[in-house]
Amino acid sequence: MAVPTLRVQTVLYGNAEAAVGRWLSSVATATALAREQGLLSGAVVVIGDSSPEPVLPDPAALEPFLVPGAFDDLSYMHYGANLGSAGGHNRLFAQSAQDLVLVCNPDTYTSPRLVIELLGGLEDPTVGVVEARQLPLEHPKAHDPVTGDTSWASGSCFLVRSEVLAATGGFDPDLFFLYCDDVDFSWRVRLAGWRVVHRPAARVFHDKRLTTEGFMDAGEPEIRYSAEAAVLLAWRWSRPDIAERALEALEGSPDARVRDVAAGLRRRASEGRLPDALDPEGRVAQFVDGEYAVHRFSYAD
Amino acid sequence: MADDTAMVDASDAGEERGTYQFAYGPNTPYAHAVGLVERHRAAAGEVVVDLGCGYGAIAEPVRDLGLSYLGVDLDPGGLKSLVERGMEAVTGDLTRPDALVAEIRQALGDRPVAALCALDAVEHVANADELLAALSRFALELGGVPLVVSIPNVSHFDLAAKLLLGRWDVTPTGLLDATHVRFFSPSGLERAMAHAGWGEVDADDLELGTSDQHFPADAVVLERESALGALLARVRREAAPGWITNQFVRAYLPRRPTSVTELPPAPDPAQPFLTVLVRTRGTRMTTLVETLLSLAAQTCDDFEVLVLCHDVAEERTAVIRDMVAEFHPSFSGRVRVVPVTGGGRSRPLNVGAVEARGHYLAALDDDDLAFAHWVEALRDAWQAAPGHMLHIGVARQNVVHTPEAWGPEGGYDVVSKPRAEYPLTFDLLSHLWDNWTPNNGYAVPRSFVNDLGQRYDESLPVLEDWDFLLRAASFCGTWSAGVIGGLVRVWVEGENSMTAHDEEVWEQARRTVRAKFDGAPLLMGKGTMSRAFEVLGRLADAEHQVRVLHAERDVLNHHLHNAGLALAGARAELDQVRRSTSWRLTAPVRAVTGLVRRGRRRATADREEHDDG
Repeated sequence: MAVPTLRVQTVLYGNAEAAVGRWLSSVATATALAREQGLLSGAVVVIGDSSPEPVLPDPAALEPFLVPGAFDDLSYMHYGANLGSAGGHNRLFAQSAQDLVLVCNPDTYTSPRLVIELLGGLEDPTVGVVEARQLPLEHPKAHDPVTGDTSWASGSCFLVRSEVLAATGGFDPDLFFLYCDDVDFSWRVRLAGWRVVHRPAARVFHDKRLTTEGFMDAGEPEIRYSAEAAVLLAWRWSRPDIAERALEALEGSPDARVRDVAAGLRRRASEGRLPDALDPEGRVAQFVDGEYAVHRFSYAD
Repeated sequence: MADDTAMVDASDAGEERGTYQFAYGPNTPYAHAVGLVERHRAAAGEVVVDLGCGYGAIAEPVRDLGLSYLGVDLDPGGLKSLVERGMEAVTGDLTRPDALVAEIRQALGDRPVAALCALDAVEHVANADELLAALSRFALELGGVPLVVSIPNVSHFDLAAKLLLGRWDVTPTGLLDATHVRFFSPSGLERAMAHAGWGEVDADDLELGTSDQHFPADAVVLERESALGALLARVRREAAPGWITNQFVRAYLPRRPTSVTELPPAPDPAQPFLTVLVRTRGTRMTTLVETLLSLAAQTCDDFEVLVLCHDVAEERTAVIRDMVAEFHPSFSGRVRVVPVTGGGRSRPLNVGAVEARGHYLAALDDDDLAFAHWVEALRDAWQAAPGHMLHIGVARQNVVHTPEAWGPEGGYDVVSKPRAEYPLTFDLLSHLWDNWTPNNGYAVPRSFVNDLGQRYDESLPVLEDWDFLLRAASFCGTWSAGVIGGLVRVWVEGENSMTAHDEEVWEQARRTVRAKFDGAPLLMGKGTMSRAFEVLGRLADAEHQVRVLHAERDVLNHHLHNAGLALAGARAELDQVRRSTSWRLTAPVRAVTGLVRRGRRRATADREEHDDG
């Protein structure tokens, strides 16, 4: 492949302008460094906004956070509707004219060499998606220490080939609003024959915090949407047994909101609106102790 | 005159104020001053000019050095005495520097000057700065001759302690001589001399543990073995030099005058809240970049970073500089890379503390991480409790090296979740026993270092952070942010600080730190006593329980003893019966009865077995 072009994208929802600036300064730095080394022939940054009100009423306010030589263009789009993470990114994917897309959460801060490292992961043509390593709280899923192969790539920060997006259609926003969209996407990428690899030297800081007891600080939407997504993912990936167990667990939840989610899923099942079942042979999907990969450790311990 | 030797009142000579006639002798400011003259006099010089000479206590010793003496004063009594002793003396007014210099120039003629002296003189001159500046210009004109001064120190511990009692006892002579109009501390003297155009080249201060201001003699604050006296003495001793210096006896050479910061200094709007000290040996580049990344990603940027490269080769330091420069300027512009050479583990932190500009100091090792709100939470804590040592929770995560992964630097793998194993609230009492706060779990006011003179104890091979933390907690009090803001990675395979030193080294350091705190009065911040009451209450409860259990044991022993006695009595009776004639005669009857009884028992058992079946 000739020297590729890059599209950096993120989707906002109620973020502070300063936080967006911080993220932008980091990806601009990482992109400029890669361009300085001749690894990219062009780059743009696009920001989608699912917030009720625009986070960036004046996108020009972001200019101080840019660095010379990073991006040829910066664009911002307020959707006027909450498309979720998956829908928001897909909207941006659809407009991509670049060879590669760097997907980031807006609450991340990329290391200066992130783009260079991720590009290194794509030197192997069999690799479709390269995932960054998150700090300070690493994702616990395992990866091959030599090849980097991993079950799925976290949507908080990964680099993907545009041809992979074209072949897979990107995320599935109809099924996954906020969570497990990246798991589902990664498995479809692998099902299509590409590899998904983890690149430890590609570091990204992800603003995740611990509770005072040392547990991951998960908000209410995360608990709710990830529970729903777990059932949908199991249906999608030909594991109705797991879906049923997960659904029963939701139905037994003391949280009424979670029980509402369960009722919605039951309704969906009774109406026959289940997703097409993929990978019936279980070639790529992994369901291991409630997770979607073998984990090195558990945050729930 | 600040010496505590005798004063002669010359009022009988018709003077309006007292004049002084002090003897030259060992361990006097004069002897120290003459020693400095001998060491630093201009090589080709012949004359020592003694400004404000009084009776010229150093005249003869100067002559004994083979030099000429020229006394300058307004006091005719002193000048007359000098002339009578065969010395040269001229009238000169120190408060009129230009005229003074002209008088001296005229008296000297072509003779070269060996040194200028101003012994116990400057503090009597209201426009001392003007005088010192004129003398500097004159000294330069004379080819760069030295100036030797003797000046009283008003920051002597006796004066400092008495100020706390609201006392400023002016005396006819001594440190607070009634005729003194200027007052000098170590830093004040340094500023004044530098500003006037003098650079210090030597010092032979007169140290007096007990000054002329050591009264009332039984004042608790002056008694350094009393708890309060010991604490105050420690504060003064560690805060700045000169805690028992009575007279500054110093030699200077003329230099270009320096501009000095006005006092009080104007607030620096650019001063950051925090200086983060990141120490590195340059051997953990893989994690150093992550430490920096976690700082770059902070939600609050009111901080600067000093990367302290401790004994790191120049090429490696250059790599670290490049690493820093790769970050966005909004972060890299707040990072300084500082090479540090020599010393132990704590040397870089001490160097960094001096280089720092922030209101507070915090430290990160080159494998530590900060959560995004680490600085923000510390800053919030500062606003809630200014001047306190700020404490923040830290989680601990186990990692192992993976030398084969990641490339030439090797990598590592996380093998556990972060665990909240360190207390979220700081407790001084617990910390007196052991250190429960990692390095990235607290920030101290820079004033603790700058003003109180506190440093990491470089003589400790390990646990220097514990020692520093305890002092900071004791002096400043503590405030806990109540959140987990830091992450320490513990290398559970291979070398770490725990395995790099023998257990005996750790134990010895632990004993040393505890002994330091046991050997001095300890300040405990507000709230510490509540914790102490809780601990003491638990101890008292436990001791009470032990006493109750002891009492119950005693009762049981008593009953056991009585039962033993009863048993022994019964046995004795039984024995007696067995040995009796009637018992022996009835033995066959008992044998038959026993057989019958056993037969019945067996028959009953067989029947029950049959019924069960």
